[in-house]
Amino acid sequence: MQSSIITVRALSRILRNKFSTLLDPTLSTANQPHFVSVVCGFPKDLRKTYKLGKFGDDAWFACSNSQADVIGVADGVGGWSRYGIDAGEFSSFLMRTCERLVQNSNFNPQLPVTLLSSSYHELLDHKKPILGSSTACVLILNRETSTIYTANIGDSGFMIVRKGEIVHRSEEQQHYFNTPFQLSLPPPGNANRVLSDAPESADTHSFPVKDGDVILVATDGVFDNVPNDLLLETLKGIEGEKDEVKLQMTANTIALMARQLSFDRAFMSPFAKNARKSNINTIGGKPDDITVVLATVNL
Amino acid sequence: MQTIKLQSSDNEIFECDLAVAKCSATIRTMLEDLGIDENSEDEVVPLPNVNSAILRKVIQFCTYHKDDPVPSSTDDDENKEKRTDDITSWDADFLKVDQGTLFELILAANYLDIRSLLDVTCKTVANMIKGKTPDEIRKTFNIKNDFTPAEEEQVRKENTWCEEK
Amino acid sequence: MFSDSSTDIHPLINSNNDDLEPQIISQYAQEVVDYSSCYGSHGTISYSALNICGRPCKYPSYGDFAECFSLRHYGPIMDTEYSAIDAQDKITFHDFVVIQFEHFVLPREIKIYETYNPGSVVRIYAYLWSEKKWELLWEDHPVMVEKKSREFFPKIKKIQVPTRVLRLEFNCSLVDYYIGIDAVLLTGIKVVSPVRHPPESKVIMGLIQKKLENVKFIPQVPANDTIEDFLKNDLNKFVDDLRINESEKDIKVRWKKEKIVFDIPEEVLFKIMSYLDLRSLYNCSRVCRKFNVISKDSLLYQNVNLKFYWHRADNKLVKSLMHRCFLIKKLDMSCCGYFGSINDEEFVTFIRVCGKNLTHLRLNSTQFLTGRCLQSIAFRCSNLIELELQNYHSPTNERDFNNLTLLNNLESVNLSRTSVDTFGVTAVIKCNPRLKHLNISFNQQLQIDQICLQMSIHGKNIRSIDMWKCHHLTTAGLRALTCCDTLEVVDFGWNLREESNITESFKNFIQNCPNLTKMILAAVRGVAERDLNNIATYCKNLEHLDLMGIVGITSEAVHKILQECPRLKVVDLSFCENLDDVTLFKWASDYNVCIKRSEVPSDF
Repeated sequence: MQSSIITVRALSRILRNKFSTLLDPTLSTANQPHFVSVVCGFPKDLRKTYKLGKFGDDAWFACSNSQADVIGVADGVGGWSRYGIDAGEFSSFLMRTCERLVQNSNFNPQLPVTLLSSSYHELLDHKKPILGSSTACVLILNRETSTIYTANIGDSGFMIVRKGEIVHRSEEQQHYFNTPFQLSLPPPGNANRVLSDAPESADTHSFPVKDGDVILVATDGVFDNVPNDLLLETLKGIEGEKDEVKLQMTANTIALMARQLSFDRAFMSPFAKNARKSNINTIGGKPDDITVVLATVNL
Repeated sequence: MQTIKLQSSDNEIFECDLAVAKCSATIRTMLEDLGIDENSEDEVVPLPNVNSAILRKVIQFCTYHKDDPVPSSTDDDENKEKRTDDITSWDADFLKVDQGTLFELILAANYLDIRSLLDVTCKTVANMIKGKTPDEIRKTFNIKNDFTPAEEEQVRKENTWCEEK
Repeated sequence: MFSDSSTDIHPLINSNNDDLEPQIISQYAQEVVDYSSCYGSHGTISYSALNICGRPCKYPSYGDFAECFSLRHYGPIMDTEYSAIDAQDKITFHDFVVIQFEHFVLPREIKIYETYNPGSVVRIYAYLWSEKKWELLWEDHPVMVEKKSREFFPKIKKIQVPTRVLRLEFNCSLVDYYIGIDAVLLTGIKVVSPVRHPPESKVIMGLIQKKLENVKFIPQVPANDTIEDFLKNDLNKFVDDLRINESEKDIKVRWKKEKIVFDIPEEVLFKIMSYLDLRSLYNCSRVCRKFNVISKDSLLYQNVNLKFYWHRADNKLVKSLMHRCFLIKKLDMSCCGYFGSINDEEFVTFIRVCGKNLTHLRLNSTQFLTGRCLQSIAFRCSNLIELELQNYHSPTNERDFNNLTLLNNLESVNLSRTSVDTFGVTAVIKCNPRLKHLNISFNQQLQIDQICLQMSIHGKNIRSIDMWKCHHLTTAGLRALTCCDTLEVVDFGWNLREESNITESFKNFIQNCPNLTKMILAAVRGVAERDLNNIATYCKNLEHLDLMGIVGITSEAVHKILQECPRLKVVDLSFCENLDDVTLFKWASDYNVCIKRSEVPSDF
């Protein structure tokens, strides 16, 4: 556990540096809406070597250009490892490519779906064949319009807290229980055997933001294990928070909570509750990779 | 070995192999026209346009190159890609002479119709022109600028694109 | 893309204090203005030209990264330059990229971050906006360099005119696989407005320069340039001025008995001039009247290659060529016409006057090409055998290409990266029965199956087809190509995407095309082991095979191909999992085959 926190601290430092070098030094964003963001997470299997941008099969990115700040998470579908395909490669590539597209300003800052779509199509242009599938959730803060645009495929998601209330919460997209919508690239010849949803099937929303809004983007490792009201309690406390250290502590807290609850066999987790709705009798948390990206909006 | 006698403009006689002499298309034609018997060694071919110094050099060249394949008809000129960086070192050494001699060799090669010698001498002169400004070219070959100022101006205008490096 | 202004300020040596401290900034490329070709298609960011912008993201890692700029070709190019005379002294280039930076600077340092197969940059030009011309900053032959990433730091010419646009030219003849470039860093003295900057106030003078000041000799080049310039340009004059004793008369007498250049008959002078490159020919026309007349002889202008003079070619040159090129057969105007130096009117007039005998026309990456130009070519150049229009992005529309139906003798056509539509391509195929080589790579807008169908009907002589990254080929197209039994080279790279099973069509195709020597199947992911076995069985003449990124490959299949294709020289097996390098290395020497294996350090 100790080592994870240390690596997480290193991670938060890296995030900060990324922001300061990415922004054009001559362009002051102090007067424009921007995120202060941090990340924390745990891979399901703690023995896996730590790599920047990934937690197990989850992947995330956070970057910005002159027009927008963008955050994204992706959850690699684990079943591929049975066929010898690294389940985290797809999600990682998706997020890395989104990041590059943002850095190159190669996307429409009001349409996160096009960002996901472009990123997905870049997969086809990669020399090394990248196979697998993942969910994805992308969130763009457009400086010009002070609006957030979201696109979500699958069961990762986001939550926005303002004045002690959840003002927006993404919906899970599931085909059936435990089978979320997913972007996928199957091995050739298997297109009809593999679930593959088009980027255009993403759930999209947009809403204006206010100073101090708290935004949580996370994979289902969090939402399946931590009930909404517990999340709300934790997020309420950092509304309007501009100090990265405090934000980092909160993110760490959420990630740790998710981790502990996921291994708690007696806990009636949100996952268990949903299972029961589908007539599956189960209890306890769901061990999974956990990714938490936490940001506050500053105008 | 059959030999032939060649007489220069200043009446010097040179004896050389028939094969060497036949490098010159002119001599070849002359021999056919004159019906010179292969065995008559007393026959002398007069070459009034070539002096002895030059003829000596020409024979030296042809002797060295006598086994070269004969280049095909002149139509090839257009299709073959021209280069000037393929002069062999022997030829380059052979042509390390003063300008006057070089020009004499050109004239001799032209008159005697020795394709390979003409080619290599022309290439050498071309290499002397390459990379030089008009002024330098004039200086190298001692050419007088006979343009009127108006003409000079007009030509200079066409050349603006190749001024400076 | 961002510029990263480092705020280090270095005061110049001996600079005057009344001037503002000049600010030295370093910046990465901001955007790509133009490029000849790259590995990736337009609009993607994988292996594409866009990746040269911004800060390096992979350096100092070494590998075949999608995040870097990669060129389409590697190795020596088979195409010969028109006019060997013009090409022989010059370092030829195959590709280029033009990049723009954010701030105008007086360039002092350029660093190129090469992350794969370094050593291919051969020239760097800077565009001088205020003078509207290009300045060569550095040039050298391509070199064989150790295969690791490097920060390439050529010594560039110091100029006093601000710039923010650079052009890099590449020659890949010495590299044996794709190149990768991550970023370009331009360091220089920041200039506020793009006007000519006065020379740096004090310069350290060398001993010779000091002596020259005493001799009252005024060099024709500014004091800042190096001694080499002086030696080249002014030493002659300097020595001449020093020579006092010989009178002019003496010189004339000395030369009188010897032959002079005008003793040479005109036809021989003509022959001498036939060995001259274009620039020397133009210089000759300034020497004297006789040279002027001979140097303008049309027979000397049958092969004109302006690719090496692209930065100087302008409307005046085109106009003057128009009076000389009546018999022109081969013309290469690739890369000419940047920033309005040539307009389409001039070209149209040129073609009208001189185009009748043209057989070979290369207009790759030309900047002035419009629909009118294509129209004039179509109407006038009925003898055209070879036409290359790579990188033509018409300001009008696809109908520009419809006029090409008037040409009926074409044997080689290059329409790579153009906006040609399916109708245009099929028309070319229909109207040119002698067509041997067709390049339509990177044209994602084409319906390839249709084109293949037309090819099967009309393409009785076709030898090579390049449809790299056209995307829409399906097995229907493949089946159509079965009729083209004269095919020798076929490039299916990155096609057949939707197809999971190509075996039947592919087998028929290769069975019927026994002359195939080169086949590119890069990233045709649906290729399976059966298909490879079929290659081993039927492609006996194969010399070059590209199987990059094929998922279903196995060692046995590869081994079989190596065993049964005796002529095989090059096989590309990059990104094929399940193959172990040691075995491949052994096979490479056993079968005397070059096996390409790409590398990407595994850090994801």
